[in-house]
Amino acid sequence: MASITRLLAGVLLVGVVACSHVDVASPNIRGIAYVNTNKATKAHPLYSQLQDLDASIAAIDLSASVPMVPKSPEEMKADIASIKAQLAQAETQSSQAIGALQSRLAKEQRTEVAAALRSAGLNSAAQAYESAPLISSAAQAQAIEKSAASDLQSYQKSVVAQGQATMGALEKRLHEQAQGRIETRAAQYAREESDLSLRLSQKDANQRLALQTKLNNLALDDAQRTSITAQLKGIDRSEKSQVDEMRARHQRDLRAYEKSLQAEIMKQIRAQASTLQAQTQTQLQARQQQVSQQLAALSGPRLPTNLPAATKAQLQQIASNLQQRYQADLTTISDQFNQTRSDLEAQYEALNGVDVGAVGAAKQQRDKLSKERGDLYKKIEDQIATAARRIAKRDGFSVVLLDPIAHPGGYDLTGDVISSLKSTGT
Amino acid sequence: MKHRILAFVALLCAVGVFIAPSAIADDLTDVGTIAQSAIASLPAFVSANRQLSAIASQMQQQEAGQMKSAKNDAQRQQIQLSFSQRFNDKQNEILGPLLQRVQLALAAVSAKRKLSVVVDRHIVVYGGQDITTDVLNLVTGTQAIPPVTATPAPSPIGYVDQSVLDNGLPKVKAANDAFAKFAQQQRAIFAAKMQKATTSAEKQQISVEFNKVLRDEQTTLLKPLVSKVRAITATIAEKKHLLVVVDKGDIVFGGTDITQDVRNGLNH
Repeated sequence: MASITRLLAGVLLVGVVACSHVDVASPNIRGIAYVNTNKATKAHPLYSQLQDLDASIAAIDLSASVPMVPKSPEEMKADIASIKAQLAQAETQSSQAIGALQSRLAKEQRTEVAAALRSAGLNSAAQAYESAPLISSAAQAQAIEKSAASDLQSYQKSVVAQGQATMGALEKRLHEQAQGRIETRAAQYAREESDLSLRLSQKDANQRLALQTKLNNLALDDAQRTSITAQLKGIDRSEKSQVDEMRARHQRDLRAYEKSLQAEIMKQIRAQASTLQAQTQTQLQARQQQVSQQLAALSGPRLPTNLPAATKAQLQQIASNLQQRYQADLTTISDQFNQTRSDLEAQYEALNGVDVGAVGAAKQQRDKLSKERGDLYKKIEDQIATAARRIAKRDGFSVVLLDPIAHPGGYDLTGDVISSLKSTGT
Repeated sequence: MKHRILAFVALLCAVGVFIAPSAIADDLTDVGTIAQSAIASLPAFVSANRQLSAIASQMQQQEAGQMKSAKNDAQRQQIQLSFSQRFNDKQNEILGPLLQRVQLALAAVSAKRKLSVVVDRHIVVYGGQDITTDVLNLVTGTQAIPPVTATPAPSPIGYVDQSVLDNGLPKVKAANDAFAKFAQQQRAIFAAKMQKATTSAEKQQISVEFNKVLRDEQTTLLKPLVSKVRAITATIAEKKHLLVVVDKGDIVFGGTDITQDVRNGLNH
């Protein structure tokens, strides 16, 4: 019996509590409720963001009202240089931050993937994955690629230069050798010609002496003298003719010899060039292969192809998480850089006498902030309205108004709306 | 017996919770809503406004021409007043018939739906009867709209013309002027600080301080007056059995105008 009493008392309590809810039909309410949007907005979880945006917009507006003080050309130059330096520094810092972020996430990825492989019992794959060279960032990979390409190019140049030097030296040596041989043979021919000339002189010496003796005889008449002179000239001509014939033959021989030597040189050079080319090709291919192997490592550690489905899913999740974190951090870095750049651009425009609130980067920034502010306010407003509608429907109000000037009656729904916003975490 | 009574009371309360809202909502639906922007977008209004815009532009040129020959402020004021009057006349001539038709349509629809007041939709987040389509259909129709003879039932919603209160009361006007002057001075001070700031964070901090200074001054100068206006408005509204009071700009039809009462109360 006592338990029934308690149960009924409980039901009654619930009923009384329910009945004690706002009486929307009371003469002082008559189904009308209102919401103070200003109060609700201030209590909204996103209000601090709205305040930040308001402050940023007001900052631009205040900057726009700063009176312009003309600067000297030197001051302008110095200020512009300072702005440029700051911008360059910001760019460097931003790049470094991105590099550091990529490096950190690459290490984290390696650790998480190796752990996932180990948990799947793939210890050797995990070890191989961990021991592969770590290329942590696109920038690093790019730098390595660039360096490898540059190395390969340098090597190619050095190999080619080396080949050319070898060929040059060979050519020089062969030419020198040929020249030596030609000179030797020419000297030999000269000696032979000289010997012939000497032999012929000796052979004709008695006859020439006899004729000259005759010629010295004063009693000779002109006809006799002419005949003896002609005989002497005939001896000279005969000797010269024989020597000339020999010299001409020698010269022909020398030209033929030189030609054959040149052909021999070319043959040797071609053979040597072919050998060198083959050697160079082999060397370059070997280096190229080496570089390709280095570059192949840029794609990061390799995973086994036959992974279990669960491990694959886990690895995909890891990659997805890291990608999200990367994007989030990248956005932060990018926003910081854009903010700095925007500040610097505004300073630059201000230096040049531009109305910073009316045009250029500052205007763009203001427009952007205004839009963000409008969107955020609309979001807050919509959430307040949605909460008000839900509560009004639940409690049976017939109409809910926003921001009345005075409200001697009606029901103030603001507190309920704020509680709802906080409880839903919107 | 005691248990039966307790159970019956509990049941009544529990059932009441579930059935009361809809039942009450049916009883209190004499508030109508309308999107005034939809009226303004009607081709007739768009055309009329375009015509007025062209007239305004033409009049401004004429006014500027006459202003050049004005010798003193009194003459300039006279010219300004004259053009303002001419423009108002033109506005009444062009928009008057259209607005009258809208008012007739509003009255007809309100009478048909038994509405005591029609407010702009932007101040209503829940409930009320949306009569936008009905009014648009009547306004754009070809037939004449007969005037409604019966006056709307007394509405629990009142209104005040805040522009009258803001500009018509010396104390409010003085406070507004003092605040505008203060804001101008502070803007110059903070603008100088802003000039020295180089980063966004510094600028934002200065801006926050600037806003705080203005807000504090506004609280000092205007809040007491605003509170006073609201208190008097609430007292008068209570005397007239009104539940809420809104700005005149949000009332489209019906409602109870208490502007003069509030003004009188403030002057006392």
